[in-house]
Amino acid sequence: MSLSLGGRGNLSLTARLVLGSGLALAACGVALLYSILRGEIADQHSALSEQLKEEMQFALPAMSGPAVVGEYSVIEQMVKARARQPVIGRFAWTDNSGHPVAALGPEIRTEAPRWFIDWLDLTVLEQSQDVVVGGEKYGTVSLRLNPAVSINKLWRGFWLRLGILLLGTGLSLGVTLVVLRSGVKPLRALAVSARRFGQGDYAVRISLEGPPETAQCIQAFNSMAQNIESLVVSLRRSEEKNRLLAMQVEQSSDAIFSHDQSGVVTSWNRGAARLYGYSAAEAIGRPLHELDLWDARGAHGQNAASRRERAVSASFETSAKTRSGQLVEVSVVATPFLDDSGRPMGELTIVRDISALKQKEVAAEAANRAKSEFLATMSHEIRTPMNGVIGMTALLLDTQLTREQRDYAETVHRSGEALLMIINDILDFSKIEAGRLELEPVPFALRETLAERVKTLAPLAHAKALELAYEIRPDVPDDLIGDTGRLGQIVLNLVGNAIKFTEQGEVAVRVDAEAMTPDAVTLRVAVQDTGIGIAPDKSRLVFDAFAQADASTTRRFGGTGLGLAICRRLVERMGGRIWLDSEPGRGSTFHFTVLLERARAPVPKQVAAPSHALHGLPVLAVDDNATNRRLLEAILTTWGVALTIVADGRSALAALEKARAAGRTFRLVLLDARMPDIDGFAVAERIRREPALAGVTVMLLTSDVMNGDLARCRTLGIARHLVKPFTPSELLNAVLLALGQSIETKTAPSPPAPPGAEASSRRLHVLVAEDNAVNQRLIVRLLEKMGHIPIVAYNGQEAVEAYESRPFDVALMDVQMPVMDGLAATMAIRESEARHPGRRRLPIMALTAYAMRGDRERCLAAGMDEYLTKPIKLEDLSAALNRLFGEGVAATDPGEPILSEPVPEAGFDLTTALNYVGGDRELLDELLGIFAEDAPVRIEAMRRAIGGGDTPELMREAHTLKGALKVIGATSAAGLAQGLEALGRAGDGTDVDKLFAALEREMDRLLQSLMVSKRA
Amino acid sequence: MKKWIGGASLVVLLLVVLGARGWSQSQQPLLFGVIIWRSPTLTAQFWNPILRHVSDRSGVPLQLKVAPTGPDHTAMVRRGELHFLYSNHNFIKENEESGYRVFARPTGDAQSGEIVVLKDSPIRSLADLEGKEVVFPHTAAFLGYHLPMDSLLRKGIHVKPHFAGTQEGAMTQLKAGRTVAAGVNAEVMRAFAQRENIAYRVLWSSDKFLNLALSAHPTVPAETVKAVREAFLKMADDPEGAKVLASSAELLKQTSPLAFIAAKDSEFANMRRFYRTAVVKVELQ
Repeated sequence: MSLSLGGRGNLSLTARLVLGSGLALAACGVALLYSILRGEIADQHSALSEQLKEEMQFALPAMSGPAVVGEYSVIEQMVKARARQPVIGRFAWTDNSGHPVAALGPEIRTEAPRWFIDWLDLTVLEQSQDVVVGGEKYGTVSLRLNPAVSINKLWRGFWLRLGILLLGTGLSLGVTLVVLRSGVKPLRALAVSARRFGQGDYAVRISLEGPPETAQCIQAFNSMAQNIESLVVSLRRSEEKNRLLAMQVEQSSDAIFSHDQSGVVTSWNRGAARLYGYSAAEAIGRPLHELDLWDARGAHGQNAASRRERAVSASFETSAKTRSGQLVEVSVVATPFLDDSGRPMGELTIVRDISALKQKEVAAEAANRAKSEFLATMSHEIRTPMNGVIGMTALLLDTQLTREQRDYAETVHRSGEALLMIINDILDFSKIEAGRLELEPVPFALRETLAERVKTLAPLAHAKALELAYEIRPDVPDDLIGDTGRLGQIVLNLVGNAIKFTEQGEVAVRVDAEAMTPDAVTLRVAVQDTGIGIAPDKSRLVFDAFAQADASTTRRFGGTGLGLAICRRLVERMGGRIWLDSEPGRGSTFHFTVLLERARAPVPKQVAAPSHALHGLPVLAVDDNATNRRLLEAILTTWGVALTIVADGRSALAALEKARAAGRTFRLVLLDARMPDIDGFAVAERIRREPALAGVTVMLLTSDVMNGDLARCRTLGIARHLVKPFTPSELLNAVLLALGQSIETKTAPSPPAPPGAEASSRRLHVLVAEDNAVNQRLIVRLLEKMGHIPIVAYNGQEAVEAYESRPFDVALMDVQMPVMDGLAATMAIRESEARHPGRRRLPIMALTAYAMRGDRERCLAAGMDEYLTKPIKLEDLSAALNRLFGEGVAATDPGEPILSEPVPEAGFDLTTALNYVGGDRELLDELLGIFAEDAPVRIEAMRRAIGGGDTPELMREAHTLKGALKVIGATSAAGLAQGLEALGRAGDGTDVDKLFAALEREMDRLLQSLMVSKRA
Repeated sequence: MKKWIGGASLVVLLLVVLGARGWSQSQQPLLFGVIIWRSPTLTAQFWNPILRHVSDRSGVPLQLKVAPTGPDHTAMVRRGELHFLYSNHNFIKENEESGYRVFARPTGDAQSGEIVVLKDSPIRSLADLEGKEVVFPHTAAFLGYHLPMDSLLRKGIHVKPHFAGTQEGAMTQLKAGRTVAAGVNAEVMRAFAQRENIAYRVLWSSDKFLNLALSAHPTVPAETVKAVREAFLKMADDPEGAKVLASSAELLKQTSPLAFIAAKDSEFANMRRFYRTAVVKVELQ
């Protein structure tokens, strides 16, 4: 290492340290030397003074004795002796006479140079003092000191200290130099490494050596180098990423630009240049408003300022204005930049040219609309010939046809009806999708309308032993304006579905008002069932078109899958929404709301307002079903009766007892027939036995009518019998009739007696296992037409159970069925036969929709005897039966329907009838067809019974006919049939002829109108 | 005759007065020799203030003269070089001829010398001292050595003399038992025994002697002597003189007040007699 002194700024650290510490040491040394010398000089000076003083103190008493006695020789000796001391310059004695005795001190040469002596400035000390004894002066002593000794001493001390100082300084600098050399060596390495690091060699590291400070320095360097290296690596990566990002932004086909808070453009990519026609150089630095990028009418122009102030992101579509003034449709995403404290700094805007997309969208919309229109048109176009097919088939059926021809024609007719229903659904859906569905609002009475709709489904519910209840909250206004047809369609669809998917329990419809104003009301309708339910993840899907909760559902329950989708769209058209609460296994509740206008004037009702006679009438109502109780309460309370309502028979008896004890009696008792513990009949029995209750009118409310019920009613003195569900009007009618009040009813003319039906030569008991309703009805009808007795099982399980419960001649087994398929059912039956050797072997005929190869073999292998493919043709069925049972089993030709010309009074309500079958026109037609075939048979049978006086037969036939009439909504005819049934039951033949004539007339009218409706 | 006598007396008186004045004013100071007490310096410190006062009061200039040694002082007395003396060297046989006449002395009673032993000492008489070591203050001690030793010698008793240096030094050695007997100043011995609480027996006691006296040389005029004598005698009564005396007494640590009283030459006849017949070798301070 060199101590290069190439300039003050270039002095090395070592040179600085050595020079600095050397100068400091020298300065300190000189200061120390000076201070020591000054101290020594002062010491020497005071020592000389002290010596002078001591010498005097010694000399004066020593000389006073000789002076007193005058021994001058002694004094001279003393003077000479004292003068021999090196410090004495001169010693002298002078007596009183002035005689001196003096002696000079030894001569001592000063070693110090003159300047040193001058610098020392030691004054020559000299003193004279008289020798006085007892007040007498004897002489004078004079003394002068020689400072040479002191000077020499100081001079030698000066050199000694100077030497030590120089030696110390030299040693100190030497040690410093050595230490620095060892310490600076790693520092030089550090410098070299730092230079390499600075030149980009980031991997350079230095080995740890040298003193701790240097080692720490090196460690710090290594650590810093490590950090910087990783920083550089991450920076490079980040830079690469940024470069990539910048490249992506720059090369993006979207226009991407940013501006600061004052609206000045800060970045502008190629896409922006391409879209707007301004290059980056032209755009950057200019205010946005100068560039005029937006169509002033667009969303951007209106919202930009406020958005900028609020620093919120926005995404919208607008029109961009290019440099040439051309407008381009774009989608814009504007995102604010925020600084660390969240204050807006500017905005990044991404603009995408969507003009091509828009064009495609418009084209797609147009295509979709065109498709829907096409579909709607096509549906209509299909429907028109379908109507032709159905109508003409109906006409064809009115002509004289052979049995075979009639079968074909009827099959064509029914299939056409089924196809028409599907087409109707599709048409509805297409209309809605195409925006061509028009609502037809009319004033209507909510309660009556809804009750009628729900009621049409009662037979379906009752067939499955389900309670069907409905309730409208009293605060819901009754007089409304709406499209009753569409509203009914929604309700029927939901209730129909509920019944379809519910095996036991109840289906309840509840209506309340979600919101109400003087002009409008938002109805909320809930249709609740206790059926299979729907999984939550499927609950939204069910409202989509062509979707059901489960693909298998379609196969199991049938339907187009459009019902709920149509409901949703209808509800939405009526300003409401539809949703579902459901839990698999626990049932479902479909809710929907509709916004309806309130009618300014009351809507005319079918039934007049309840008579004032009902006001204050004490009424006891008993029903174990809470929904029905609420319904009864709501209806009866509005009539102003004094109502007591209880939940079971025991409470009813208690209430009766309590009233009797209080001296009151109920005028009217409404009893639910089916109740646990004490049922309605038991309560009626008690009332009949109690003389105190003789004046009480008892009415029975039933969900279904079992064999013998009506007879029991009569026995127990029950005045009226009403099947649930009922409308308020029906209840009122029934109540008024029961109480002997008059009501306005039109008495229909009695229908003509139908022609008699032919009986079959051999009636086979046929077990029909078929899940498909159409096929089921078809087969049933075919069998019936052939004069056989079909017993229907809905699945394999039911088929097996039916087999076990009663004997059958033959079984027709559908292969594909829910719960248990036909093959499994066949095997179960064969196993049962094996267990019971005495039983006759049951012939089983397979029915399958698919004539797949191997199906026949599979069926025969499972134990089946015959094999038929769908659609089932009459002759095939007949041939198959003939194969099994031989000739003679074939049914007689079906009786011709006897239909007169259409009459205005149809005698039945087509809408009601349709509603009963959930809008299933095909089924209705099927039913109507069956009815049209069956009714004349029944009439003829009744005629025979009346002629033969066979009242039980009359009662049975009348009962059967009554059931059929109720199903199709022919209430008047049903009433007449019921009357005949009652007469038959009572064995009373007085009014039979009169009543039968009325029934025949009514039946004629009915059958004629059926034909008209079928043609329509 | 009477007129002559009267006139002559007047002239003599005038001459004496004028002469004395003229001598005192024109002559060199008269030498006042003193024996050395401890050291010449201390002696000078003692006497110079007294002599300055006396000179001032008497009008006779006096100069202290201290001889370097006792024999020097004795020689100066013999040669009559000193006008006034405060000494006892003029009483010895060799100096009787110098003719110094006593005119005053310091106050104080005549004192005696003794030979003493400790009370329980087996020595019963001087004869018991034969051959024994006897301690004395020093060879110049008149009461402590000259008188007892002379008596012993006259009685033919030979003792081994030992000198302690001072009176109390000799007494301390006796007390310590180093010697069987001591020659002492009777007054000093009493004070010492009382202070040190020791009991002693006196084997022998001398006559009483006055020791030092103020004397004048016969050549000094009587008026001068008289003036000087008056000044000394009145000094204790003079406030300034008393102060000087007290200061000098303080110098020597003397407890008794220093004063001078008139004395006659005859009061020192016993001393002269002793020195004329003394067998002991006399050394003086």
